[in-house]
Order: sequence, then C-alpha cells, then structure tokens
Amino acid sequence: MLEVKQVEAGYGKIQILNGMTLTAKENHLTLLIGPNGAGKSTLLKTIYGFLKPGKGSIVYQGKEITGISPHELAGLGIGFLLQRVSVFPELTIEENLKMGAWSFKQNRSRVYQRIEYMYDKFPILKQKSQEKAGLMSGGQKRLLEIARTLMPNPKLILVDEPSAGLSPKVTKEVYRVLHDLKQEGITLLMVDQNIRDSIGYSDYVYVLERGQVTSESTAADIEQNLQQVVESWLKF
Amino acid sequence: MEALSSLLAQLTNGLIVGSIYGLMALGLTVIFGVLKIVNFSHGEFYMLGAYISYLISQTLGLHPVLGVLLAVLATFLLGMLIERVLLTPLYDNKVERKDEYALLITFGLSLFLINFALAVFGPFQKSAPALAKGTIDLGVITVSSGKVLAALVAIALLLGMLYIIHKTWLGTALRAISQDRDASAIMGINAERLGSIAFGLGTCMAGAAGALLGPVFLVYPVMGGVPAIKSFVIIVLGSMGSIKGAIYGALLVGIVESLGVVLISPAYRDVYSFLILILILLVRPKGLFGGAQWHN
Amino acid sequence: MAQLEKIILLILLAVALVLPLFSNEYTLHIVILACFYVILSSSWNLLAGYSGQVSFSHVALASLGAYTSGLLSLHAGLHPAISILAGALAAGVIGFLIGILTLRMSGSYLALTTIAFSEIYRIVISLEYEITNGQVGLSVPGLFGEASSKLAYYYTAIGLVVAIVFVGIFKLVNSDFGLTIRAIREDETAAAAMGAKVVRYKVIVFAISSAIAGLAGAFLAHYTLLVSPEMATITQMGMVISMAVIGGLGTFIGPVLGGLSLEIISEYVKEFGNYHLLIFGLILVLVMRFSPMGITGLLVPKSGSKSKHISQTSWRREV
Repeated sequence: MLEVKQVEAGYGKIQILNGMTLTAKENHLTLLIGPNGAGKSTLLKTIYGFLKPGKGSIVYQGKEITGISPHELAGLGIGFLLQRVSVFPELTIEENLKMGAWSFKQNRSRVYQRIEYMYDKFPILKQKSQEKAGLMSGGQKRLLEIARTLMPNPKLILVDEPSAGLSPKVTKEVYRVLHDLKQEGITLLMVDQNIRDSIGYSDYVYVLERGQVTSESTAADIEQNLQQVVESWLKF
Repeated sequence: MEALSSLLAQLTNGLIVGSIYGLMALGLTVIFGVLKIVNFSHGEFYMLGAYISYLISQTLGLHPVLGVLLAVLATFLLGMLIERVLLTPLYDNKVERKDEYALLITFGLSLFLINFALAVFGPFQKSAPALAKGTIDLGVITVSSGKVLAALVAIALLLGMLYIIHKTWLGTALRAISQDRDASAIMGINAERLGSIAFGLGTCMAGAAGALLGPVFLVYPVMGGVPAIKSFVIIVLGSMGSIKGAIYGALLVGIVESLGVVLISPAYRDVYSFLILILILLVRPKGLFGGAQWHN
Repeated sequence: MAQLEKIILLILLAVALVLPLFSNEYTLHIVILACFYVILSSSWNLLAGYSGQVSFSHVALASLGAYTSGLLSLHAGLHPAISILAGALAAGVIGFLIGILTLRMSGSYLALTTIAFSEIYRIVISLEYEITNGQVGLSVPGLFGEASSKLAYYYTAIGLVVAIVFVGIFKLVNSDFGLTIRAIREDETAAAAMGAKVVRYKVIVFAISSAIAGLAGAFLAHYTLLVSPEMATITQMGMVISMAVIGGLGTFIGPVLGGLSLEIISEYVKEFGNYHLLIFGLILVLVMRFSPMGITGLLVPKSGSKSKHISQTSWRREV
C-alpha cells in the first residue's frame, strides 16, 4: 500500500530521517515505535508532504507521491490524524465534517450521505451538530477528527499519537474505533508512545532509532520481547 | 433645537459613511484572517475603485451603480493577481519575517499605486456623479438620496459578503484556513489558491467603498490614506479578524467622529479615530471584542 | 563584507572632498539634500533594519525636530546651532516615549500605531496655524545666514553631521548593544528571555534613532529656511523607507547607497515630471520580492542562510 524508501528529511540543516525504509501493508495496522527524537512524527509529516524529503522516495499504490503537497493527498485517499487537536474550533461540527468532504464537494448528495453515515457511527456528533467544535471535550474532538478524516473514505490513514492528552477511558474508545477501521479494510500507519495499549491492535511493528529502522517484526513477536526493546532505548 | 438637528445630521452622516468604512474594514479582516497579514495598500484599492467607477460613470456615461459593480469586479481581479505575484513567498517559508515582508511590500505597492494614479490621472480632485439625485426629507433633517443609496448598496454588499463567508463552501473553507492552516491542508483545501481569492475579496470590498464614497467626497490619488487608517482603526477596535467586531467597530467610529465634530471641532475630524486607535492598541491590544481568532 | 563597506565609504569620502572643486552650486545643493536623506534612512534602518521595529513616525519626528528648532530660534532667539540640538533632543524624547508605549507591539501593530501618531501630528501642525503658520510653513533663520552665499559652509557642516552620525551608528551596531538589538529582530521571544536588557535597548534604540531624525530635520530647516508640514507626509516616509530597503535593510552601507542613489535619481527624473516615487515604489516592491537585501545583497552574495532554516523549523514544529 505504502512504501518508504531510503528517505532523508529534517528541519533545515538538522537532518532527522537518515535513510528510512519501511512498508505499510494493505489492511494492516503498522505501528512505529521508538524513543523520543527517533523521527516517528517527522516520518509521517514527510509522507504527507509537510516536509520535503532531501533524498529517497515514497510510493503509494504504485504511484510516486514524493514531495506532493498535503492538499493533494486527501484526493488520493490518504488521511492524516494529527497528534495535536486539529478541529476547526470556530466551525460547527457539521461544518467541520463538510471540510472533510472538500475533495468531493461537487457531489453534494454524497457529502450529505457521508455526513449522515458519520452521525450514525458517532451519535454524539449528531447531537451537537450545530455547536462549535471548540466547545467539545477532548475525547469528542478526537472522534470528530476521526470522522472528518473518514469523510472521503480514505484507504490509508496516518495516525500520530492517537491517545495523546486523553483519559484512559477515552483512549480505549479511540483504539476500539481505530480497530474497527482496520476491520473495515482501512490501512493504518500509526505512531504511538503508548506501546502497551496499542501493540495488541497492531499487525506489524517497526522500531525506529536515530532516523532509521533498527528492527521490525510481527506484533506478536515483539510483544514477547517488549521489555528488552524498551530497555535498549534507555541506553541513549 | 438647531444643535440637536445638527447633531442628528452629523450622526446620520456618520452612520452612512461608517457603514461604507465598515465594508472596507471587513475586507481588511478577511485578508488578515486568511493570510495573517495587514494589507497596507488597502487605501489604494479604495482609490482605484473610486477612479474606475468615476471613469465608467463620467467618461462612459453609464449609471453610477453600474460603475460601482464594475469597480468591485476590477479590484477583485487586480487583488487576486497582486496576491499571486507578490505574496506567494509567504507560503513557501522563503521569507524570514513574514509580518515585515507583508508590511513593506504592501507599503511599496501603495506608494506605487498612488504615484501611478498621479501620473495617469493627475493630482486634481474630481467630483464623481452621485448615485442618485435629490434629497430625502426625514422631518428634522434632510439627507441626499445619493448618500442613502450609497449606504444601501454598501449594506447589500456587506450582507452578500457575510453570506459568502458564513453560508458557502468557499467561505467555510476560508474560515477553516484562518483557524488551522495545516488541518485545512489535510482536508484537501488548497490554502494558496484560496489565499488569492481571499485577498481579492478583501481588496474588492475596499474598491467598493471607494466607488461608493467617491461621489460623497472627491476622487484624487491620495484619497485612500484616511479611509485606510480608519479601517485599521475599525478592525483593531473590533479585534483583528473578528467579523462582527469589524461591523461594531465601524459604527462606533462613525458615531465617535460625528460627536467629535459637533462637540469639539470639525477640523480635527480624522484625529478622533486615530486617537482611538492608539488608545485601543495601548490599553486593549486584543480589541474590544476578545481574541485574535477569526470568529463570527 | 566589512572590507567592502570600508572601501565604499572611503570612495564616498574622497568624492565628497574633491566634489566642491569641480561642481557647481546646484550639484552641492543636491548633495546636501542627499545627505539629509542618507541620515534619515540610516537612522530609520537602525530602528527597523537592526532592531526590527518598523516605525512610520520617523519623518514626523524629523519634522518635530525642525519645528522645535525653528520656533526656538524665532521666538527664544536661540542661535540655530543650539536650537538644532534642542530639536534633536525634543525628537529623541518623543521617540523615547513612543518606544515605551509601543514596547510590546511588533510588526503591523507598531506600524499602525506609528502611522496614526504621525498623521495626528501632521494634522495638528497643519491646523494650528497661529503657532506653525499652517500649510504655508514658517520662515526660519539660516544656520549661516543666506543659503546661496554660504553653500560651502552648509556642505561642510552636513558633511560633519553625516560623519558623526555614521561613526555613532557604526560603533553602536557593532557593539554588544548592536548584537542584542539584532537578536530582537531575529527572534523576539528568544530575545525577550534575555530580560530587562532587551526592553531597555528597544526603547533606547527608538530614542537614538528619533534624535538623529530630529537632528536631520532641524538641520534641513535652517538650510532651506523653511519648516512646513510637507516633511511629515507619508510620501516622505515612503522616500526614506524606499532608500533603506532598496539599499539593503539591516546593513550598514545599504541606506547610504540607497539614500544617495535615490536622491540623485529623483533629481534627474523630476526634470520629466513627478515620476520618481512611482519608480521607487516599483523598485521597493521588486526588491522585497526578489532581493530582500537590496543593492547590498547584490554586491555581496549571501552565503548560506542559517536563519531561514531556523524560522522554517519553528513553523514546522507546530504541525
């Protein structure tokens, strides 16, 4: 589904990704773990075009997408859930969902059909549809972000720290939703610090250190040596 | 009685002119909301709007209201073009100090446009034909029909713009960009392309204001200076980027000015609103109506 | 860079010294006017280019210096040589106050406040004709009596003023003070972490650059023998900003080159009509768009742009 080959990128002169190579297989939840500064979030930003890679290539469904602007990727069926809160706070819930449908806005009947679908899936959004998104709780905002990302029916979603800043109860709910998405056939590439909770939902895991992949294996394998992997990071 | 009717006349006048300045200030607000810059050439789009409408109604002999509409269209297209040519470096992080870049380049543009008008039209003040003839008798005071029609057109354009901003996909996307540029990119919104449209919408509101006030005052190259500062006053007063604030700010400026004219001295008409600007920036830099976000 | 600046300054000095031998009075007059603009744009550059405070009140403060000096010499009978210093002091004090009031403002807000200030100032001096003689302007005594007969004196005097101002600004920007104010321009939040020193320096640089503007304005008044609201117009501000930006904002030599070349260009262009500001506006826009370091940037190709990457980082991190 998505192949990252020998990608180098960073901020100005500070290079963070040093030849990163990995693959997100179709219908899998691929988890990226690693210590702080390993380049996990930077990789997602580079895939999504917020950073231009200095070297390497990114291929999505056999199509080269290296260096494409973020706003073009939505139309290609790739979504991105940011780590920080990213709802439009002064737009209503419904307007937020409409913005999620920007790439197919010409097809109005489909837009409203998708909005109704989201309302069915997340009833809390329907309840508050005319309220401003900024007034919702942290967990509700996260659900709105997920619903907004799902509007164009993406095939691949990049997920950056889905549980950041959320209570344990809400975190569980978010993982359940993400798990459902995978069941529906959506491919996920996820960065998560909260390894113990997320690894159970994952299929394949890459361990990143200093901008490179240092090991990879199926989730089941790594779950057994988890202690060892985490301890190895402490050496830095 | 005479003092009262003079005060009423001034207030009516203040509200009419204020509503047109409000339109201009709303343009500045749209630009600030989406591009996060202050357009220091806003007054020159006002001036261009006035000249375009003057040329259409005076030279071509068409109806002044048609002149206003064509001025709106022309300043919209010109604004879009100028945004494309001059402001795109703001998006690619090619500019180190964005605020300073936008400030100096739009100031340079204003210098250019004023002197362009001087070279082409000469320094002389021209009086544009009023939008309508005759006067309206309101009992205690009479108002010229041209002014009333100008205010009505301004309010119609204002409502039209509010409709675009609040009810259309384009407007919703503009608000989305102003609130979270990166998130809007992830939705597939091309903020660069919409930035041009936002700048064009902003400048065409200045053009409309100039076309409407040209017949009230006079048309000349530096006519945009005072209205530009007044629309700065209005948007600072009403919180940068707030749409409701811009409208309240416009009314407030209109009222304060007419009170100043009657109670203190008419010669210092323009000073009152400039003093308000300095006071607000010193005391409540966030404006009277809260935060800096672009809200409704 | 510093080497090139020295060479250019030496060439200019040599030209300035031999010029009176070969040129007529008109040329000297133009050079005196050019010196006035060079002082204004250099001092504005100190404020905007080095400390990042883009102020629009600079020519209003020059005009304030001119009116202060003119009125003092007329009514208090002070010799212009002393009243000019008083004019500089007055502009410095008002600049100091503006600096304090606008301390926490940056970018557009500072620009708006200073525009409003200078417009109020201009309207007041135009309207209070009992004191200022309104739009017509005040006739004031000359520094050396009649201008035409004493041109060489004025030429020498402004040469001295320019030299003093240059040495002062050069020492200032290359001192610890200069480093600090440049840090403010690069990153206000980081500089603010340095504490009270930054606050003090921002105000001091406002006061100093305003005093220099007042000095230039007052000098010009006692050269042209006239003080009028014309000096305080936004058009004049446009001249000064064009000179500094086209020459090279934030460089020492930039405003010198910009001021000289633009004043000379405008004298030539005026022969054909009032097109000089049309040209300057256009060049200002083009310079900002394509060569932000102006003429100086063209002379000295910028090696590596570290600060660009820093700003990119800080923006991208927000994603």
